Amino acid sequence: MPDTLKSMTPKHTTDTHSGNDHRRLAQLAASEVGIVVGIETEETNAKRLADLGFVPGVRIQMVRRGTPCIVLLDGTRIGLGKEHQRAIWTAPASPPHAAGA
Amino acid sequence: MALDTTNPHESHRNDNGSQSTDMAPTTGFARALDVLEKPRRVALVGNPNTGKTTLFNKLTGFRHRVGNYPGVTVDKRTGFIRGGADGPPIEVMDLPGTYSLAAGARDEAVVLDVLLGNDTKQPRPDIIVCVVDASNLARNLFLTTQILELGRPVVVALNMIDVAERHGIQIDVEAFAHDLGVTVVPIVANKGLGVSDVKAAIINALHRGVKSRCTDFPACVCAELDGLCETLADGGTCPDPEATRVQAMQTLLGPGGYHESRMIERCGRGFADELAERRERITQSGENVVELEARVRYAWIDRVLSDTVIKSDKRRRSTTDRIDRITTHPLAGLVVLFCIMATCFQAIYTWAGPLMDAVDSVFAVVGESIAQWMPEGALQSLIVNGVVAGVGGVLIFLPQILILFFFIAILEDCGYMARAAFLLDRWMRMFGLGGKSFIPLLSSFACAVPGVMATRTIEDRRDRFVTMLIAPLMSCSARLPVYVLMIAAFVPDKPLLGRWLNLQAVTLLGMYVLGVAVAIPAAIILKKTVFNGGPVQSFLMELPTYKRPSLRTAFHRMYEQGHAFVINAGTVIVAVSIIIWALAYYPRSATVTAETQAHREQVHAAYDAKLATIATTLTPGSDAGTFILSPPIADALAEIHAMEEAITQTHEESEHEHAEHDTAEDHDAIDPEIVTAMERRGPAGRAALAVHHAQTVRDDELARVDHEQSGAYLRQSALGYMGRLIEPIVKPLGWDWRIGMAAIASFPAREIVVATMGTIYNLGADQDETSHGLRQKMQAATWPDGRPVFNMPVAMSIMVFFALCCQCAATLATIRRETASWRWPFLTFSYMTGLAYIAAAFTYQVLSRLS
Ligand SMILES: Nc1nc2c(ncn2[C@@H]2O[C@H](COP(=O)(O)OP(=O)(O)O)[C@@H](O)[C@H]2O)c(=O)[nH]1
Ligand SMILES: [Mg+2]
Repeated sequence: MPDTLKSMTPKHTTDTHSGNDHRRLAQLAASEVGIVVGIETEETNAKRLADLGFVPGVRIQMVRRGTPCIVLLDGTRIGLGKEHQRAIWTAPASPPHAAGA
Repeated sequence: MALDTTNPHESHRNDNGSQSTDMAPTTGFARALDVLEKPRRVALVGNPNTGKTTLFNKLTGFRHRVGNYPGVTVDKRTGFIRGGADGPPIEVMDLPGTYSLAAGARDEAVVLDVLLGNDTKQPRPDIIVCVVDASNLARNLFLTTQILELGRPVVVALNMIDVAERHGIQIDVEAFAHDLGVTVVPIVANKGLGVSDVKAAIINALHRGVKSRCTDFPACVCAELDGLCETLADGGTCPDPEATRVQAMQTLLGPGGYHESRMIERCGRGFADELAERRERITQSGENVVELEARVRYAWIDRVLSDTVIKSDKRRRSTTDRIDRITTHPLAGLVVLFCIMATCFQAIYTWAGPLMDAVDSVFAVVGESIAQWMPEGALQSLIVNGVVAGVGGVLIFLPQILILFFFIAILEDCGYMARAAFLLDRWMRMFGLGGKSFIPLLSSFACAVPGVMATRTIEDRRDRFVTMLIAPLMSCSARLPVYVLMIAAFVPDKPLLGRWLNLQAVTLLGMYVLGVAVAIPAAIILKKTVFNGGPVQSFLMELPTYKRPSLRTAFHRMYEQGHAFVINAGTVIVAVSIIIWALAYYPRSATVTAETQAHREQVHAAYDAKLATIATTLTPGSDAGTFILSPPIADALAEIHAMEEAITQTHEESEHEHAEHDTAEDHDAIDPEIVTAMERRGPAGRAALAVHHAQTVRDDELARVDHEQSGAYLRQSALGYMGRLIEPIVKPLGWDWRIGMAAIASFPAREIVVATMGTIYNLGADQDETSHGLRQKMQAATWPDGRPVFNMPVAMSIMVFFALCCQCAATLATIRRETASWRWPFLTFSYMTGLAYIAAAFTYQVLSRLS
């Protein structure tokens, strides 16, 4: 991919997540459920995560913490490395154990 | 179990009725006969692990050929549908799994190039069969919605209905098909359920009009998209409007992606500016360019699924979760992984051995019978020592390759491989690689060629290159013969840890560990120097649910790999065996021939003289020729032979374990039993003993002359010259010129070293010792001063050298192909050979001092 274009286009960001109860995926406790609110990383990575289904509003559950971790997204287990865990922002799911149980 | 939800056959019939409103399947088929004349092409696409290959195999009846996509070496499987015999042939392609048309890895780019017709050598497929996992619909449908916009007839194969049912997922197939606007066929690919319906749907779809369905995007995006389509159409880069639109969308909404770079390459800098402007406008209207496509499509998918799919809310703790608790545990998981690997390698070692022996002895018998049947000379030598030995040298690998790929196939099929990648990611990171490097590296334990090819799933270029460069350090199956030969001959078969392991198996394991141990610093250094640092791509991989592995698939994979090996590597190996034979056979020195002939005559003359002495001593004036045939002597000789035979037989039976024990030396010492028996016969018996002794001496002398002759031939052959040239260089490794010669000869493929040694030691083969294999030959090899050439330190040094060197033309050629430059294979070869030399020298020097 051309380096020129990378420098031209700004780093992709969604809104800022300070000042509310948003947490990075990495901060979710084991078997905790969160709702994706945004992805904050470099474009190609963000696009890949989005295409895989990490879109705002979707529920994800932390199955195994660590690097990489395992999250459950719509019944699929996906292993995510450190950067991806930092990139995905989540909000608490309203009924605490809806996606699990 | 809820098996009542959807009967695949029935629901399909419903669906078919509603979808192809104007025609029943039979008339559709009849119409197909009229319309179609040339072969039609069907592409199978879908996410990884959705059952594409399983469906492909069922459709084609496991009959297909594996080729390569032009430019890249992603496996391309194509086959023809069976059953549609009356119609035109329908060619099916099994494409690599992909999650999105926004290609990240090269595997995915292949899918795109095929679907969009970027690959000019091939027409676009006429029909696309989208294989989706019914138990995981939402995420699978993302790709499907992209595919639906390609302007090609689409058949959705709703696979894994059985799994979906088990998970309590009920799909209203009819409504689902209606919403998608295409034929949907529920199937269970691994059981073959619904496969014939897929076939029918394909034939049906071939002549149905294409209703291109597009997901609705926000107006501002559509405007930019249309504008971009015009630019692309003006550039004349895309084959048709639908493909243009898909290309435009992926370019517009995939900043930094494959499409963008491709289009900028084609359309120039101005295009990049246009793209940036358009994206800017989209951003200004409050949309997020990167997430846009996913957001819109998943919203649409959610709407469709909420109407057509009922999910039972309870999600039981699934088997996969339970297994994962152990297999993905950072500690327990590693223990499991280690146990699995240990089992695989122990199994290879124990199962492959007898099979290899069988191959060995079959080819020995074939070679011998040809040698007897053909007149002696260059042609006989070529066939026996070049061709037969070469073919044997190829087939001897098959047991290991087959067993190894059996295990790899099983582990992959059941879903464990992804766990291994997951588990090892943090460890691989320590030496600057990601978990995805694990599978290519593990495959390299079978053969670096598929390993190097498997690096294509690594998105990061530097990771990919480093993985490629260290992949040949993994002990591939071609090294196994070298190890096995050396270990069997020079490492004692001592049990360790009770019955569990033995010293030989541990040595073998050690060779595998050595490759890995060297690969770690090599990777770190390569990454730091050649690829100047940089972070590793973060891990991202789906961990599929565990499935019961299919034996048929595993056997099929075994067959494929074995076939590929025999055809590709095999021809090279046989060809090189013949070249090596020629190098070792020519030039034949006439003086050597004459000299040894004179020698032989001397030996015969000496024997004749002895015989005459014995004859005249017993009956003065008798003739040696008639004397030896006279009844008392001939009888006594026959008895001696019979007794000797019986003795060696019992020896072989009782001392089977110590087969290395050189029986040739026992010849001189005559058994006391025989002596007593002969004494009883009186003077005739004693004379027979003397004759027998003379014969033994003569035969030993002749054998020695033969050895001398072949040695002399070899020393004067082209190969011998080369070996002697490098003997000073390989001396620190404890090698003699023959080993050096074999190392030179094995440059094209290290497995040839065995064939070479076989050729070297078979030339002028011993007529006396019928059951002597290469091992015994090697043990008998000596330096000019009589010291044995091979001992433990030398065997170890050879093994270490071959563990670390890159004597494999196929691997180097693959690296060159994958990197499109000679620089990398050259680098690989030189760094590995350097390492191998140093390590082997170190091994020999240390071990020879210790022992
Ligand atoms: N239970 C179940 N397993 C299936 C079905 N179809 C395929 N599989 C299994 O799913 C796994 C992945 O299949 P494969 O054809 O390799 O997927 P690909 O990656 O899309 O080519 C294999 O273990 C198959 O045996 C199905 O309908 N039901
Ligand atoms: Mg496949």
